[in-house]
Amino acid sequence: MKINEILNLIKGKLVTSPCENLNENVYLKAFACDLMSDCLAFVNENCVLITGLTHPQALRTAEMLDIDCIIFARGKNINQEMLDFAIRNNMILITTNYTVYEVSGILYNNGLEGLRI
Amino acid sequence: MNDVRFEFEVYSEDYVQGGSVSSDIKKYLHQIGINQKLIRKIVICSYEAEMNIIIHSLGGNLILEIKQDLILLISSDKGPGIKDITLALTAGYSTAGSKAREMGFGAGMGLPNMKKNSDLFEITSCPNGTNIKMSYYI
Ligand SMILES: Nc1ncnc2c1ncn2[C@@H]1O[C@H](COP(=O)(O)OP(=O)(O)OP(=O)(O)O)[C@@H](O)[C@H]1O
Ligand SMILES: [Mg+2]
Repeated sequence: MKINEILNLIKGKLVTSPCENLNENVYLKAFACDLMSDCLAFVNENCVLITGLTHPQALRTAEMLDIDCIIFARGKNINQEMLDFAIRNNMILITTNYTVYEVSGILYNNGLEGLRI
Repeated sequence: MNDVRFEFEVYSEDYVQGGSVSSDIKKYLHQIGINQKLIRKIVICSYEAEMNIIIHSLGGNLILEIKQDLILLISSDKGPGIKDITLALTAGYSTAGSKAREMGFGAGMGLPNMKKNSDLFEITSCPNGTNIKMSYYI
């Protein structure tokens, strides 16, 4: 699934992206979670991270796992510190008003699979 | 390459910088050409250990040692130690408070993650500090 499709499906707002072409990156899988150690335990391949945790540690966790696309659910705001971090690390950040449950359901229904853990 | 050894200070309750040591370790391992899979295993351990020092201890340090065919990651802190190591190693066991939970920590998965992602996992603890030695075969 391309970034453009994700944005359309979840009425997402693109906060930052290192590439202009939103049809470039293709993601096959996603993982949703608010507990960073669960991410660290279960993410075993490239995927989109869906989370309700708007804390810099969510980005730090993504960095460790080479996750470069993070969707923040529930209409949370990204602060400057997180924005700077994302830009430095070439990450794509998306915010949406949908909840984690809704984002997951919508993207899953449209073909973005879960991780096999 | 000669053996190298790095020591990084990790401060208690340093929630802002938390993880920066592991970022540096990750970049360094990448630079010297360690393979991606091994880097991932090491940085998961390093980040979990770093956050544990920040959240649960009075401060300490992480040591990274690169030898011929072995990488060592050592986490040591100044206390207060872990009373029951077996319990602490149980997936889901956590004493993390609200500060840690706000950051997404407190799943009780850190120590199990470290054990799973290292080839050898040795832990000792007393009120003066906790010492964790993780080995990885290159
Ligand atoms: N360095 C340490 N010093 C003192 N106690 C520790 C230390 N590391 C872990 N512990 C204790 O062991 C428990 C389990 O640690 P573990 O890392 O597995 O989970 P956690 O840190 O609580 O949550 P998570 O790592 O999933 O975010 C902790 O809640 C804490 O009580
Ligand atoms: Mg922990």
